[in-house]
Formats: sequence, C-alpha cells, structure tokens
Amino acid sequence: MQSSQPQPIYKLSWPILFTGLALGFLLSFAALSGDEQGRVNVLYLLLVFVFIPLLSIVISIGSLITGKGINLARLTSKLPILSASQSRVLHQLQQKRLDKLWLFMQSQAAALAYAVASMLTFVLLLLVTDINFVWRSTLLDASDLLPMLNTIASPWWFWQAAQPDLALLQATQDSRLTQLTQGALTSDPNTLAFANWWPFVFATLLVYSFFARGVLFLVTRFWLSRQSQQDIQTQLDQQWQQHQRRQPSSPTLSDITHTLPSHLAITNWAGLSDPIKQQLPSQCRQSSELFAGPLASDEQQHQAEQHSGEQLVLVKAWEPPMAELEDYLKTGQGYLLPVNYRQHQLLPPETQHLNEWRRFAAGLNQWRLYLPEQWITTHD
Amino acid sequence: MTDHSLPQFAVVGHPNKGKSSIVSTLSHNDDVVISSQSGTTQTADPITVETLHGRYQLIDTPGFQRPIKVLKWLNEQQVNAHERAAAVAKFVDDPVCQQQFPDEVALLKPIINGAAILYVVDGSRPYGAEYDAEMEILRWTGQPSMALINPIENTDHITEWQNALAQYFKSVRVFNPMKADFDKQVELLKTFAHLNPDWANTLTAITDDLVHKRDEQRDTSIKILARLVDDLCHYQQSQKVLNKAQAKQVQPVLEKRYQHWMKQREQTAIKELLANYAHFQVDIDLDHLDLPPDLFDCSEWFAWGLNKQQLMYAATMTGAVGGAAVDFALAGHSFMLGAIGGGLVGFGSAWFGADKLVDISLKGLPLGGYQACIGPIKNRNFPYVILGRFIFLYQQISQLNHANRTALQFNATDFQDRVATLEKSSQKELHTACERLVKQKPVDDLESVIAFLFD
Ligand SMILES: Nc1nc2c(ncn2[C@@H]2O[C@H](COP(=O)(O)OP(=O)(O)OP(=O)(O)O)[C@@H](O)[C@H]2O)c(=O)[nH]1
Ligand SMILES: [Mg+2]
Repeated sequence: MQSSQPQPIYKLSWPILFTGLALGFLLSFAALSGDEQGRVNVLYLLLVFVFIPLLSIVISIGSLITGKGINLARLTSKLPILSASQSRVLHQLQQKRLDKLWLFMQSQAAALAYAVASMLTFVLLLLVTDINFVWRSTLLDASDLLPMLNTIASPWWFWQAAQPDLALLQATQDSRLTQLTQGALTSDPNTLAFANWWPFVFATLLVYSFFARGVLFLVTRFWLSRQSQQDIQTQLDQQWQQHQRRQPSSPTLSDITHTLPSHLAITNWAGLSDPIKQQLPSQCRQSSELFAGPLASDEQQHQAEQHSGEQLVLVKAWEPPMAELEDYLKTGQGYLLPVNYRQHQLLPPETQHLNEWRRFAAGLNQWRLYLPEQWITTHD
Repeated sequence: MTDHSLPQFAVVGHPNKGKSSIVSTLSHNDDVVISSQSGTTQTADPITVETLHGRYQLIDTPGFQRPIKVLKWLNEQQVNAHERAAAVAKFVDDPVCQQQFPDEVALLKPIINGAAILYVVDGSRPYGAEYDAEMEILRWTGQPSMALINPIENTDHITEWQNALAQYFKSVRVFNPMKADFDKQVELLKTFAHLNPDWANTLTAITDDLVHKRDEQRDTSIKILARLVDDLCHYQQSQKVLNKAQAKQVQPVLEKRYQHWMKQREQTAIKELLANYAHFQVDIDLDHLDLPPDLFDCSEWFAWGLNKQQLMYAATMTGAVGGAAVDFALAGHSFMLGAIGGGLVGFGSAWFGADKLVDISLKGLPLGGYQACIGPIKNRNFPYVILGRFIFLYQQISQLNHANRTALQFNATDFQDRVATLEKSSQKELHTACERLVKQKPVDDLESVIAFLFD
C-alpha cells in the first residue's frame, strides 16, 4: 500500500529549534556578560543553566504524562511559523494521538539548541573576556550554599576541579560594599579564584542541559518510533506489503472435436442410466458397450482395459477428472464425452466444467475431447 | 510428534468440491489457493487460526484421486474392525503406497495423526455410489467426523446427500463457504467442539475471541474512515508564484496534483480496510477504482452524500441557515417536488454546489510573491460523500467471505437511509462534525460521531 505521502516524523522543526537557540543565546549572554568589571553572579548562572532547564523538564514531562503536553514546541507551533509540510505532519500525528510525543521530542531538540547556544556563548566569553565568577547574597553565607552546590555537582563527583569547595566560595563572595572599599579588583589576591568557577559552570551546562536533554531526546525518539510502528495504519500497511498478490494461472485447453469415427466402443465410465443414455445423439449410442470406472466390477474393468479399439468414454461433466480415470486412459485411445444432466434431463456441459475437461484432455496424447455439434452453441 | 491438545480438522473430499474454500472462509485467510481447476491442492497444508486464548488448525488436503484402488488395498489387508485404523496407518507409512497413491497418503496422514474429519460434498449435484469408497476409507480411520454439504450451484440435492451421508457420519451440516456470514461461521465452529470433548474449551475460547476480534475490526474501520475524512477535508495543494498571471498558469497542474492526492488517499484507505479484514487477494483494480461516481464528479454527488432535503436539515441543525429559509425551501420541495433545480434561493452553492469544487486562492507571502492554493473543498456535502462511499465499501468488505475471490461490485448505496434512521442527536453530532471539518476546525471525537454509521 503506497501511503499517500511518506512524512518524515523525525525531522526536526527549524522554527522550534531556532526558538530554543535564540533563547539560549539571549539568556546566557544576559547572565554571562556581567557588570563592567566582568563580574558574573554564579547564582544567576545556576538559574539559567540549572534551574530553568530542570524546571522545564519537570513541567514538560509532567504535562506529557498528565495533561495536554504543554512545552516549548507546542507554544511555538501555535504561531504561524510551521511549514505546510510540518503542519501536515502535525495533523497526521494528531490523528494518531502522537502529537504530544512529537512536540515533546521537538522540545528536547529545542532544549539541546538552547544548550548549544549557552555553551557557545560561555566558551566564547571565556576565550575573549575575563569572566570573574562571584556570588552575592544577603541572607546566605558560604556554608549555607555549599550543600546545595554539592548536590548540583554530585553527577560529576569524579571531576575534582569542577567541585565547589568552601574556600572557593568564601574567596569569591562579593558585595558591592567591598568593591567600593577595596577598589580595583586586580589588586585582590583572590583574583585567580574568580576564574576557578568555570569548570563547575561548564560541568553544570554539560550535565543539566546537554546530557539530560540528549537522553530525553533519544528516549522520546525511540518511543515515538515504537508508537508509530504500532499505529494501526502502519500495521495494516505492513500486512499489505507482506502479502504477495497471486497471478491467476491460465492452463492450456485442448480443442473440441465434433465428429466421431463410425466404429467405436462406448465406455460408460460415469455409470449413466439408460434413460440418460437414450437422450444422447445417435452416434454416441453404438452397439458395443464397455463398463469401467468406480462402479464397474473387477471383471468388467479388466475387460474394458483389454479393449484395443477406439472408445468413447462417457463421464459426468460436473465431476472433475480424477487420476483413476487417467490411469485407465493410459492404456487405450479414443474420445471423451462429458455428459451433463439435471432431473434426468440431458443438458450441454457448463462452461467451467467443460474447461476443466479441456484442460485434462490437453495432457493426453491418445484422447480427444468430443462434444456433439448441437451442444456447442452455448459455448462459443 | 503431534500435539493432541491442539484441535485439528482435516478438510477432505472429492477434488474441486470446495475444500480449500471452506478452509479459507473459516480461517479468514485468502492465501489459501482456490481454483476452478481440480487437483489444485496437492499437499496437506495446515492453516493455523490463532487468537488471544487459543489456536486450532484446519488442514487443507488434496482430493481423493484413486479411492477405489485404495479401498481395495485396505480390504486386502484382511483385518478385523478393531485393526482398521492400524491398517490405514500402515497404508500411510507404506513406501509403495506413498508412490502409487500420493493424494490419499497426504490426506489420510493428518487424520491418522489425530485430526478430526470434515468431509465435503457438493449439494447441487446428485449423490453417486462412486462416493462410497471415499467415505468407507474415512470410516476405517475411526476418527471423529462431520460431513459438510456445500451447495455450490444450488440446494437441489441436499436431502439426497443428507440421507446418504447419514450412513457414514453422525453429524451432517450444510455450509456454503461463499455465502455463510460471520454468525454462520461461528455457529459451525461451535459444532466442531462436539467432535472431540478435549477440544471443547479451546474452541469455545477461540469463538469468543473471534467475536471480539470482529468488534475490533469494526473499530479499526471507524478509525480508518475518521482519518480519511479528516485528511480529505484538510488537504491543500500549494505552490509559490510570482504574480496572478502565473497563478492562472499553474492552476491546472495544481488541480491535477490535488485530485491525484485525494484519490490516492482514498485508495490507501480502501487498502487499509481490505487489510483490516485480511483480504489481500480481492480482485479490485485499485488503480482504476473510480467508484461511480468519481470523487470529483459532483453532478452525481447526491447519490453518495446527503440529498438536498437532508442537506437542508443539516443546515438548520448546525444553525448555518435560518430556520425560516429552510421551512420555505422544504415546503417548496414537498409541493413542487422535483421542480427545485439548482436555483434554491437563499442557499449558497456551498450547500448544493455542483458547480466548481475547488477554486484557486492566492495569498501574499511576506517576502514577496504569492502562494497559490488549491483546496480544501468547501462544499458542505463533501464529507458526507466520503463517508457514504467508505461505508458502502465497508459493508461489502466486512461481509466478504475469504473464499470469494470474485471482483468487488460497486453499486448504489443506502447511505442516505442510514443517516435518516440515525437518532436525532446522533444526526446533529454528525452534521456538526461535518460542518467543522469543512471549516477546517478540529473535531476531537470524530470516531465516536461516525461510529453510528457502522451499526
Ligand atoms: N459458486 C460457488 N462456487 C464454489 C463454492 N465452493 C467452491 N466453489 C468453487 O469451486 C471451485 C473449487 O473450489 P476449491 O475450494 O478450490 O475446491 P477444492 O476442493 O479445494 O479443490 P482441489 O484442491 O482441486 O481438490 C472454485 O472455483 C470455487 O470458487 C460455492 O459454495 N459456491
Ligand atoms: Mg483445494
């Protein structure tokens, strides 16, 4: 079954990807550009690189499971920016109740784009500017913050340089007041410490934006492909492919002769009764009669098999030719006459039955199919 | 090794009497080869019917070819009644017999291995004593058996056959593999349970499953139609053009592509429907399947969708036109009878328009140029036409027996009656859904709305 138009359901939607990318650049740049001294609040970074990604994961998974599936992709798809073919894909997915999953997958792709943008911005700014990571808080102090940061950093426990420690926290706590009193930061002995944050921030990005979304994306893609495989239309299509259409066979059919030689033995293979035989045309009612076939006695059968002259074998038209008859015909020669009757009334054979006898006769060398002339009108 | 808990039925008999047809219809499998040539089936082919809670086998066999000689061979063994089954087993294992009587060996082997016998004869032609040998051989096997009379051309000789068969078989049934509907098929399967008490539970579970499966197939058909009508009502073919003159130029091409897509989509749905009912060999030329009328020949639309009167009801029910206008038009309809031509004042051609189905539309593009669009069809009757045509095919395909390989027939439909006999509330739901479809609005419960049409 050629489906009307194979639509790539895994194709990523550019508008949705682009939205993710743009958001990523925008937010990361805002968070990373810092103040004129290049001071960047790590807590803001955590907001952009950890909190927002995690929150959106929670919201989108939650609504995927329970609700209509609110996510970035669904919001984007409401805007008239999807291409015609993508709208069609979405329409098809709606029919299959897979739109939720598809939008979820697109959202993961958008989140990956967000991560790429964040990473690019981050690396770029690390390269071309000095980012001084600091943190500020009115209520929290370093020892309050450490447990939270440790939790965030637990996925990369093996990477020591990227783990927060109390000393670093204490060294990089910033307040606008100290800024005023201490003057230029360059003289600060802790300057190096400000840069020491970057592995932590980098790991945060890697794990919470890239890794988490990458895994979710792959899982969703797999799930989507499974679901669309199981969709009834796909199943029916596959069944259609699996079944080969058979071509009807067209066997060779023998010719039919309408003349008989004058000397023939009549062999009543069908066991036709006298009233039927009497309705046969005169040339089929000759004096010498043989008896063979399923209803003949052994003696009669033997006698018929010994007959060396030509025979006209009478068979029931509607009964298929069987091997028993074929065995018998192997030793003799002559003509076959399929006889049809209903309610003791002789009738010409029906076409489908006659064709079966013609097929049979085509495989015999010594025998021809005979039909009285008066019976043929109905068949030509 | 054979599993004796697996119900097995060997379908045996004379050549060309519909053995394969019976296997095909009962197993809902049209891979079984059926042909007007005798000797089509040459080996014993088990067809397994598997449902959720069980499975059973129908064994399609070659017909008897030399029953007289085989019975003679058996009689020559000179055994007592209790040794007859063993004599048949010996026959089946004898290398000389295997060579001389390949058909009988093939058909008797599954019976010797425990299959019950279903003996098939043609009830439209007289019984003859030449059948006795076959029946006698089967009796020698001692296996449980049932005779099935297949009235191939007519039922003239059924009584005669019943009397003859009663001599050899405890149970004789009439079963026409071409015509027996689903209920008759299930009824027959249920009688098979009596052949061997060990199989009764399995067979009951299977028949229950089959009934359940039939409901599922109906649900799937509804799904196929819901998606079809939704797709056809939404489809649009578009192309970017520079100006209006170019739009006029591409119009015929767009129209052609549009129509091609629409027809293709409908054919896909028909194939899905066929696959849903496991019909893979049905002879319909899908490439030339322009059901009368052609999907785009709207002059004959009223034969498939709703008639004018029904369309007017639909219009009032969905509040698309004022009631007074409809009253007027209906009065006109009943008083003037057929006199209302196309000139129904007050009803836009959207309701009856047999004029032009789709027009080209132009949308300006933000970056310059235009988008030339064909479709979707705005005619109010369009969804009904799709529904009507599909329902009609559904009736045929869901009732089609798997032994029946003749080409599908496409005739007039009773879709309008079907709509007319729906409950008022279902009618309203249907009309509202169709109205929304034509207006490109989503219809969430389309499947449940059209489900009534499948009853
Ligand atoms: N009209 C009609 N035709 C039938 C019916 N049953 C069988 N036929 C036709 O009879 C022919 C033989 O049918 P099959 O099912 O192939 O018969 P079979 O007994 O399996 O034949 P072999 O395998 O050759 O022994 C086919 O052309 C069928 O279409 C019936 O109930 N009605
Ligand atoms: Mg067969």
